Amino acid sequence: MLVDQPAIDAYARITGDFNPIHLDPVFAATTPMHGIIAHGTMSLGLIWQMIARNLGTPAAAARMTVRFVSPVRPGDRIVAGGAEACDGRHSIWVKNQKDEFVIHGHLEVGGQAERRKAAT
Amino acid sequence: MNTLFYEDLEIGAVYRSGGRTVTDADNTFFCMMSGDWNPIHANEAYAKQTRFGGRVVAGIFGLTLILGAMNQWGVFEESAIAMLNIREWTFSKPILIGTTITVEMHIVGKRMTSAGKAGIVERRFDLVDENGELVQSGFSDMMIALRPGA
Repeated sequence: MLVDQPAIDAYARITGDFNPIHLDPVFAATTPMHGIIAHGTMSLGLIWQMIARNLGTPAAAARMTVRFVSPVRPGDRIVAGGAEACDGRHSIWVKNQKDEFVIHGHLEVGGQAERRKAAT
Repeated sequence: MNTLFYEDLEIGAVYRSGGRTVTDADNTFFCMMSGDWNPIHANEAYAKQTRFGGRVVAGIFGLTLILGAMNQWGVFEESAIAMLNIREWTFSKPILIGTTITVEMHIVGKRMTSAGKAGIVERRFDLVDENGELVQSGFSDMMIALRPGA
């Protein structure tokens, strides 16, 4: 996914998050991030799509922990991926065009059976 | 100006948003934005036959509602530096179209960064539906600016 300023602007509108660190290059330059950064959850959305495509949609009974390892800037290209670990958890990540981790974490989808039992 | 800097944050403080009904339009916009047209989000005839009984909005959409709530509060408008992580985020209940979500933010901890030039605030977020049931919850730490001139 190409993250450009129009995509960041659209994401601000859909989420209602108009923090100037995402939208105002002059303000953003004065912060410790030294320029505009994309919303972290935008990159997380890519993980969500990757999960939906590979595991179906774990809309309920999933648990996720991620770290935002480095910022995503306008013009970056990001890609999501993951792998099943031996403990049943899935490692999940997003990388940028320089093959650097942007997001790194894990997902547990073990609660499905329990959820079904609770619903009956 | 409602901006809160590191020094202003009190552990135990709770912020609560107004209710936000998740609409059909939200779902469609989110599918358009993400490109995720999984039939559970986009196909009512299919979704009706699943255990959810109707279209479910992408779980990640629920998480993004915290961003809008924070904007509504305005508390991190000029002080947010970076969201550092999302921890133990749990999707307890699906978000069906028509669900009304309220976001609660609990300030659960704060500390200085090792470099000492900014702070880190630990927050717990609860998304609650119109019946008071927990839909999603988890923790997210954010790097936050110190009060200018401090």
